[in-house]
Amino acid sequence: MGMLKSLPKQLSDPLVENNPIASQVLGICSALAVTVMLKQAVVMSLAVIFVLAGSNVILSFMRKGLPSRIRIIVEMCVIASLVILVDQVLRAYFFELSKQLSVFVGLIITNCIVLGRAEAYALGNAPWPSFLDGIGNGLGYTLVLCVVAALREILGSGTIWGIALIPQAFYDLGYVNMGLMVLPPGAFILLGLYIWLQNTLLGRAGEE
Amino acid sequence: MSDNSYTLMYAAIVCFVCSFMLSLFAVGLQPAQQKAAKIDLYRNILSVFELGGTEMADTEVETTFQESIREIVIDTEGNVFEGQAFSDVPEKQRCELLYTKFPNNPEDCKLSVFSKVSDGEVAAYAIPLEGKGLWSTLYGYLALEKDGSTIMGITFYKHGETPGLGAEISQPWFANNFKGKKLLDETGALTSVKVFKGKAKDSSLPEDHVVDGISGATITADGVTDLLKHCAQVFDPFLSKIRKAGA
Repeated sequence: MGMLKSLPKQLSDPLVENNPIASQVLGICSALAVTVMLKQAVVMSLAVIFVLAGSNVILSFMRKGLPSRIRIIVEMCVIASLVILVDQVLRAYFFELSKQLSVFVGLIITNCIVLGRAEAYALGNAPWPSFLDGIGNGLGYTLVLCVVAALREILGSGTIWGIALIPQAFYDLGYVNMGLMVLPPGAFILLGLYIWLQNTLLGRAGEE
Repeated sequence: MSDNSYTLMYAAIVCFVCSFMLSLFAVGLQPAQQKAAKIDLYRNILSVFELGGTEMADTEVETTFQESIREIVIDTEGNVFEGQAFSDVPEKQRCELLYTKFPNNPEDCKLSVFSKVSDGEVAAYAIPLEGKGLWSTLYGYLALEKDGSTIMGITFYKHGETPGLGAEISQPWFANNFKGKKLLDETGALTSVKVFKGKAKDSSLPEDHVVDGISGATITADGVTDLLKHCAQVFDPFLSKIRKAGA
């Protein structure tokens, strides 16, 4: 953890200590959906980092004049615009990947990490720290997604980044891919184990 | 300014700025998106004909496509319209494959088929596929050898199925299972191919008409079974003519 200490708190905190998925338990829906394959998880993570950082900065600039009664709807408007933008760019330049991610890019709008960080951080802080907070939480999301996706891909499909990892000889001997890992419950189980492991390592077990 | 009118003004400005920015981007990115979609379609048609696929560069895809693929416009009775391009067919004369109901006047129901030409001769045909999966409409192509029955390849280029589950229909392993399967049985009756729930070898169906299913994607797989049957029927008049010509 020594290396992490040298980073700004907004960046390092959400990686482990206050991870959006593992500690704040936000954004579970997409963590279940896009973690079947590592490649999709990485692209999804990049999209989320962009949207999080972008919406945090924009909303931080808007925070002084924002009428509190329409606060949430304005936040959603900004977030939705950024998500549509990401979707359009993916379709123009990364057609193959955008096809694989299909509906899940659009569903970043409903990823509660984005709205959660806007509400909890960007509306009360200056643009630069908000930007760091967005990047930090995005990276925290990425970390969990990649760990879960790598495990699911190896156990469920016997590949990593689409490259076969388990030799054909194993299959000939009767090895079978774990079908459960391809299905959403596989992600639930891994995510649960991840949170358990993290809480144990941080000495948080049994904490209220 | 009163509190309410400030709020309204604020909302109006946010809406205007967001929609303006988005439409700007949408219009700006449209040519690139259309090109990407076209190249992707070409790539899929090439791969279904075993002429290449994902490893090819975009420009190579375009030149290979123009060299060895020809488009054929047909109607639901299998008549071929020589020298006509599908893009020139008026919108209302185009058949929506999904809802093809064999209208009284088949002139008004035109479809497009691709053929693979090698050494000046037609070597294979690809018919479009369209049908319902679990969440979405599946779009694809089915390549058939000159006999109009043996499957050379299958590809799905557009769908909105679950990544890792239903979306596996566009993966090579799924497509490879179709190679060498047959639309017609020994007696020449249209049998199509069924996506079996589980391993094909456990099914009681004849080997030529069944492929492995996808675990966790039964409804998508059933959709593929249905659309193959439907599309094989729609194109049967055309394929019958090919079979006769070949025999």
